[in-house]
Amino acid sequence: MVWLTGGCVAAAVLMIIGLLAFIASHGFATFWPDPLEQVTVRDGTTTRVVLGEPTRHDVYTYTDQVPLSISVEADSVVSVDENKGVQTVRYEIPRTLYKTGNFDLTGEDFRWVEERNVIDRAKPQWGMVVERTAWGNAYGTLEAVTVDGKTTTGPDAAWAKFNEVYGPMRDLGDEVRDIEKDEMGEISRELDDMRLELAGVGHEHGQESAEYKEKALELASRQKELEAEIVTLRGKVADLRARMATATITVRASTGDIIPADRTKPEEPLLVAQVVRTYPANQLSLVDKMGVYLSRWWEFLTDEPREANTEGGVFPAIIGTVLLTFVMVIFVVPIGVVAALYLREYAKQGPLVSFVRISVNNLAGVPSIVYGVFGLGFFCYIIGRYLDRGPDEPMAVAQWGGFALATVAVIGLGAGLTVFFNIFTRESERGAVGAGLKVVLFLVWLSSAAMILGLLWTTPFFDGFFAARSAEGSPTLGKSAMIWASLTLALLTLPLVIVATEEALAAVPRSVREGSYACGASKWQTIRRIVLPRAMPGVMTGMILAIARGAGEVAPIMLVGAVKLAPELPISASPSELFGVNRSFMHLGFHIFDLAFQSRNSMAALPMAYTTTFLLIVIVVLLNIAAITIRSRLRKAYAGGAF
Amino acid sequence: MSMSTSPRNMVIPSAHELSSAANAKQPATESSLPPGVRRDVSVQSFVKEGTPFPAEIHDELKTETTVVSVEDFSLYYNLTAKALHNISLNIPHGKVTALIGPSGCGKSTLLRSVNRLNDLIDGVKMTGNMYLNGDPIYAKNVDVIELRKRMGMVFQKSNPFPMSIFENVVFSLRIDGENRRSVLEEACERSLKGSALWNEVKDRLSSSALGLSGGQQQRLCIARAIAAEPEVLLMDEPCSALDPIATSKIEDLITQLRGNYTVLIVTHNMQQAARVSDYTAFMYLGRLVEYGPTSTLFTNPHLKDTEDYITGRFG
Repeated sequence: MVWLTGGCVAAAVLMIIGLLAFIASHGFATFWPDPLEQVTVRDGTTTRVVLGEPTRHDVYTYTDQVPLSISVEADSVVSVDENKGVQTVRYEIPRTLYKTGNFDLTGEDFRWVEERNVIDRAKPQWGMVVERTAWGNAYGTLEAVTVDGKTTTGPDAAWAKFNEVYGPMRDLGDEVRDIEKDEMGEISRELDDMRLELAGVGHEHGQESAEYKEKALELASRQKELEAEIVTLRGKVADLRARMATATITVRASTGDIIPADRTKPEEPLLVAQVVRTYPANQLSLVDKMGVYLSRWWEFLTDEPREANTEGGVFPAIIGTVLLTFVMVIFVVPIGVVAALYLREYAKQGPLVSFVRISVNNLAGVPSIVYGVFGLGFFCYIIGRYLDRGPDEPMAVAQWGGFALATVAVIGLGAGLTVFFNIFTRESERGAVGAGLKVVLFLVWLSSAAMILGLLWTTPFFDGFFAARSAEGSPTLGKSAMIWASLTLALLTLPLVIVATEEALAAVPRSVREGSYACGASKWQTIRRIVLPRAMPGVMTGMILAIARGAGEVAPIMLVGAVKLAPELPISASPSELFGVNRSFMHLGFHIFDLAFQSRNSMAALPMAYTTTFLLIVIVVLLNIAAITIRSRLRKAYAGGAF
Repeated sequence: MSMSTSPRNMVIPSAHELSSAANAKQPATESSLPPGVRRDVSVQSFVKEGTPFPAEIHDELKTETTVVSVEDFSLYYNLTAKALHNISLNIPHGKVTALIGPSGCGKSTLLRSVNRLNDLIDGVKMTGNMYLNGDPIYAKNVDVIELRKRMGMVFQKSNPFPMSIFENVVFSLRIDGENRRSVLEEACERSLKGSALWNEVKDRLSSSALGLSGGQQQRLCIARAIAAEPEVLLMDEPCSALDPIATSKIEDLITQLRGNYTVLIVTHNMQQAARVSDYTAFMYLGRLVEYGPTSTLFTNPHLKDTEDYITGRFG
């Protein structure tokens, strides 16, 4: 039995370690610069040259029937049919997959090369790997670099020249990106805001009203200013682009073409500013390789994605994942702890509480996509929409007033009964209130809560915070957003926190509670000063479980906020932008899904998918380690350390 | 209340007399009893008949000032199972009163009823009343919290709170809203000196109370219980989880507390009761059987049940 049980544990551990090792090895290998190989391959009657990074070797087998007249190696013959004069031959063909890049020239990223067709194999000294801002990697041999019309030929001199101009040219490229993304983005946002502001006035007063015209006039002057600014910026960008165009790098691909700056003009060489990173792969020393490797990691961790996410970094996704998890924790821990407190400390243990407890446990087993659908329907389309544009069907003012009076009356009844029977005084803690009265009070308070919700839902005095934007088809909160995704995940992980907290509360010994009561502490004082501190490590355990579950969830957030490419980070310092909580966000888990299944060439994106997976695991582990550290500090504090 | 009206008799029965009294099979008449034992009534027979048992309460108690008085108090678990049967007794001021009796006789239940800790258990019902210095303990408009603040309690198993030694001691002041450092420090020092723990912990008041040894923890709990100057100190078998050395320290402490504090202590250990208490109440089957000065009760009990118990024939 020891062997059986131990064996099961060993198998489970091996599987987990194997998975982690697999992901880590692939994740770490992605950014290592491989050498370039140039192979000359027989292709029918002609030959073709393939230049690329060998990525995979395997053996391709197939069987074929050939006439007996053709002599083949004896051990590859499977069977011989004398009557028909044919033999069945099994061919085993070793082959290599080369990453050839140059998608804009050849329309493919990878190419299989069968070993039997290889005529020649070489490692060209000046074979270059060129990472570009568009169209993925390019592979070719360095020929020349032209700066301001002066061409430096010969790879050694050209490489030196390239390194000289590369820095300034990249800076120009960054400047263009900053202008286009930040400055022009801001102006277009402001223009958009103005359009919506005007539309809002139009909604309120009508398009023919004096207010509308006044507003339109007021905004028109500002609009002119902004448009003039855009023209200036465009001029600046054109200027920068012209300067960028003065430096080009001529790299000749194995097909004989040069790598073009623009696919439609094949004779114009690549601009230096279009190069993200380039290196002569076969000349790199170990230190150089390490440099390339680290610079790629740095880019991956700190930069934004390029090329439909298959290149560049995942910085926005890291931020999105961490923020999402943090906001989720902020929501789920207090709610979970308070719910557990009620269930364990206040509620009378009985069939009803058991039923609630079982239901909470079962919630943990609901498929996460169901939470996603619920979050989209409830948070985005009901709560968000309500906040955006107010009630869909507001009551008439008089009717609503009556409803409000009725609500006040019910609340008054509840408050009156409560005060009259001293419900919240200490005496009532022990059976002074009859069960019937409790039920009545519960119903009264429940219905007043429902009535308040009803009042809010039908109020004619609330038109939403962002009605105009919403009416123009750009909702502010009534759409998928970071805050709704966090709330959805909080809902998803709530059972974990409740169950862990409840267990921790139940583990606080009765004698300690009684000690507190005997000192004259009230129930709440006992809970706050004695029970909760004792249960805190258990609460942290629940939080750790919630983080581990929430950070890795993809299915629900796909529906409520995660996007392939978010224009902005889901955080902002400005209250007028709601601190960015209403923005869509990028998420590592969704990024993995996107890379592996949604990209143009999933084979090319696969290494990135591994690396992203590895990174997600690392982030989840880091978040957990942080929580575990806090928990062990708490435990130590109660086990004899200093306060 | 049923009080014995017979005069005091301090004659100590010999071992022979004791055993002959215990061996008497027939309910003996008063004249045939040994000199110390007044009444040969058995609680068992009253239980069988279902009539209330009149407790034997010695005259010495009449002259004492009462701190806690229990009047015709009964307690039911699960609303029907009667655990305490019409108990009436007075706890004298400034004295140590021990509650003894076999397991399950209700002595802990009685102790926990004094500060209404049994309220926390579902399905407990009480009749009768208790008074703390004349104020009713069981009445509709009693503030239980305020009531408990007037008493201190020490439990069977030491239960320090998960906080520093200092915060443990001043807990009852803190929850009362006392935040003046000087007041708290004064109370802490006084209580820790009162519980003979001051010299051992005065240099590490801010370290966790959970790092103390078992005996120290129990003395810390005593310090906590006396910090708010309680009118009565309730002790529920305070030494049952301690080794002999720690036990003797606690017993010394209880002896020192005598006079300043009114102590009601439940104990399983009759030697302990004999050592530390001024008065002893013997309980059996949920009834108060006999209540009197410790020396009398242990040497010259009035009832045969008491004698059987203290000589170890049952329980």
